[in-house]
Amino acid sequence: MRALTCLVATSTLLFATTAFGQGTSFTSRLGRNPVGVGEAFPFEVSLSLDNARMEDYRPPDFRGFRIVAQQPSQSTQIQMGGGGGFMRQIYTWNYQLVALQKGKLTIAPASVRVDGREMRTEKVSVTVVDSGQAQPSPQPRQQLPRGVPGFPGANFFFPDLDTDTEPVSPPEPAKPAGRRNFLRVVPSKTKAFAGEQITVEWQMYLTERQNNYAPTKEPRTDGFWAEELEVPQNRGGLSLSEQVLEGRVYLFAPLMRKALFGLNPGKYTITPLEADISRVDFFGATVHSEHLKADPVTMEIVPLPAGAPAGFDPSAVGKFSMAAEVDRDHVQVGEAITLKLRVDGQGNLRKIALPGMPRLDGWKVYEPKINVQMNRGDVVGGSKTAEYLLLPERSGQTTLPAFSFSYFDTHKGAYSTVKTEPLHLVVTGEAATAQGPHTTTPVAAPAASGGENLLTLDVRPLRSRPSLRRDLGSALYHSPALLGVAIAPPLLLGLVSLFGVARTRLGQETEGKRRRKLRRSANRRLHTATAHLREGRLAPSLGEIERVLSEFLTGKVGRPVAGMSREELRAALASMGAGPSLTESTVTALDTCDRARFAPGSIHPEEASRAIDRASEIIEAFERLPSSAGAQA
Amino acid sequence: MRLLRAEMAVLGFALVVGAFASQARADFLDQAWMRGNEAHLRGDYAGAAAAYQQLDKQRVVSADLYYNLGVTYFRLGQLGRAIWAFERALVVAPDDEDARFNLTQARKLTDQRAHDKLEGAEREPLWSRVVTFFSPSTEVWLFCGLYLGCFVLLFVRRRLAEDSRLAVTTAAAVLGTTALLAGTLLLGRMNLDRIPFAIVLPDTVTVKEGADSNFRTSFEVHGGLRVRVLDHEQDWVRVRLANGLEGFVRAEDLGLL
Repeated sequence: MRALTCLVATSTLLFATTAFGQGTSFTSRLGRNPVGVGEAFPFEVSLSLDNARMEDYRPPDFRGFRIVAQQPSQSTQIQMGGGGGFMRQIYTWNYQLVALQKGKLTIAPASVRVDGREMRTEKVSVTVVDSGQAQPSPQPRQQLPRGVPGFPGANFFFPDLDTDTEPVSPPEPAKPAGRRNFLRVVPSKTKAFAGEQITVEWQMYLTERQNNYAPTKEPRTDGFWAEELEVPQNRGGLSLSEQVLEGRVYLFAPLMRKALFGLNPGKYTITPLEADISRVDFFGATVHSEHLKADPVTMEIVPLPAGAPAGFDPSAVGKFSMAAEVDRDHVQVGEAITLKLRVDGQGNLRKIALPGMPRLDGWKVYEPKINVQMNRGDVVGGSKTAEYLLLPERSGQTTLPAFSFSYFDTHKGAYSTVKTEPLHLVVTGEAATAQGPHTTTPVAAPAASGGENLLTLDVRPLRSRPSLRRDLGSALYHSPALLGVAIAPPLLLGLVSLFGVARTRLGQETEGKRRRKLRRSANRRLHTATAHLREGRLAPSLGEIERVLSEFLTGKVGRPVAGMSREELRAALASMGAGPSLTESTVTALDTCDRARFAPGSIHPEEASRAIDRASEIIEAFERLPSSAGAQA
Repeated sequence: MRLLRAEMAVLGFALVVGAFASQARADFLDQAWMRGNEAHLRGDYAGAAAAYQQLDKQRVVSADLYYNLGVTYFRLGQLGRAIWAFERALVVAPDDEDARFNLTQARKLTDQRAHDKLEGAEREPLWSRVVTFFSPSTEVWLFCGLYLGCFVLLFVRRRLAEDSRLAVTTAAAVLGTTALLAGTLLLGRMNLDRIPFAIVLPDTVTVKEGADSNFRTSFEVHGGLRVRVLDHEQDWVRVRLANGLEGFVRAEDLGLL
């Protein structure tokens, strides 16, 4: 009851202070009182302004509380009435607080400067009791938070205290099977003449209310001149309504509408609109998010029929009328008149070219000032006006010839031409007496400096290329990549050189390497010889032993030993430092192998086995010899 | 060989990923560009300026972007900002005739409102004019082309027979020397940019004797004036005029070139 009284009181106060035309108000309010320790409760600061400027907002000192969430928001209220209109800006700062201790706490005033004057809210007392003893907060009317960014009807923390309430949405229908959120693109037509308007609308269908909508990829309309059209909005957000599609009820929102005018014949595809939607919980945490994508649309643009009148502008497709008028038809020499040439109608007015100004003898004609007024309803239209400043240089009568404008009428499917009436101008006075500042060549000067033509002081027009041309050189100049370009080549060259040197060095055969290689080869052959012996093949086994000894000794001696006589072999081995017993043992082993080759039957398996052992011992003995001896050999 | 294949695969993957990322960024930038152009053509100059500023914040360097931003600021009547944007367009593309014309127009208009005549203004020193003779883009491409060409020749030289090396060595030396000159120009420009120029953005700015609004006012300058930025002190900037006068202005009142 106490909480209800508090709520009613604060609501009444807020209503009283935020009524239109009541001036500025700056208030704060508490969601409920008392509150429990550790329980979250809402607190709101609200500023309402009529044509005033707000600055330097300072939030209250929440000593004794912890802020668990905060959300500033801004809205504009406009009311038109018999007594005139009101526009009001409302700034709201919503806080979600948690009391840290029990007792009677105070939230200090918030302050803000409005048009230089400082305003403060009242101090707010909060009674904090033990957790669970505080009365529960009033239940919101809807379970889903209403209106958050992108969607109307928002009061994030005070769903029931919203002073700017809107009708409560009807209960949402049960979700039939197969329903899903989706984006839809609806073109008014898919085949049109070049320059003819095609209206394309992108729509969103939702199965249930969402809190956020954010487009992630805008559709590209290459090949078209595009004009944005108005879509219904609700207080700056999307306008949601219920709609039945294929027997199913959806929440429907138009997202975007464009009027497209094909520039050249051909087939063009409009890329899909993509958007993210999401739902959030009470504290703003996302509970569901989804990425939606509309379908692409392909349009066929067909050329206009043949038989266009002379001077026809291909952009002039639709329905148009034209008028020409001068602000006065009697002037003195040196006094300027203004000619307004105006085309009204429906079509791509921004792109159409107005009829050119003919050359007028005795008149100085300045560049026109072009003004376009556009209506962005279902059909793009409006008016395009060219304002020419004409300066007579001598007296006499002049007739401005009729202006004509041709266009393709899409309703009739034929070309039409509209014309203005000729205009008669009378100039009086003498050219000689009119010499002065007005008749000299106009220079750039402000209007305040007296009658000179401001139209000459303009800039050249916008560059509307379809894609942005970037300067890669300048981008590189500002980028650290330039340092990389400077460092990389010498570094690479150095690395390649180092690699080359390393490879050369690794490729050279050292004494140790050569010995290891010989040893490996010998072991391999002895292993093969043992395998032959194990299988009873004595001749191949001894053949391997001969090969291993020949190769090993060739490597040691440094020249082939196969062709040496036994005496030469003995001399060579002795020169390596081999003792007589090692030399004789080597020669005997080789003789045994020779015998096996020429008289295989004379060899016993035991003899072959001993030969293998001996060969191994010989190799080890040669390995033990000092390397200098081998080198000398 | 296997190692080489793995390296090539990694390089290829990186190139593909880089190409995709680059394309996505290009699409995003093009959309913002089109949004700005469409807003401008609709007459929504504030919307157009916001779209172009978004591109500027993305560190897009484009003469077209600054040119359109300048035209938009001109339409909004913000002549100081328009001059800044046209100056930036000319920094990127010094031979952009349209930007030069528009800059002249904007300066004429500001001169009619208020003109800062600097007594004893000094001309830019010769070295400064030399290093800014070409655009940054030209200097970068010149340097990169010559420098990389020199090293390509050095790589090729390693593969050549002894008798063919002299000609290639001579060519590499010529390219290397020219690259050194281009690099000197580039370094000179970078050194010049270390003390950047800025344009006064609002119509009138009071220049203070110190970095605080409570300091005495030294003098006033007007929108479009070109100044040198010497130092930053929090949100204040010490500036020097072409005639040597110095003072402090708020950083938000200057647009860096």
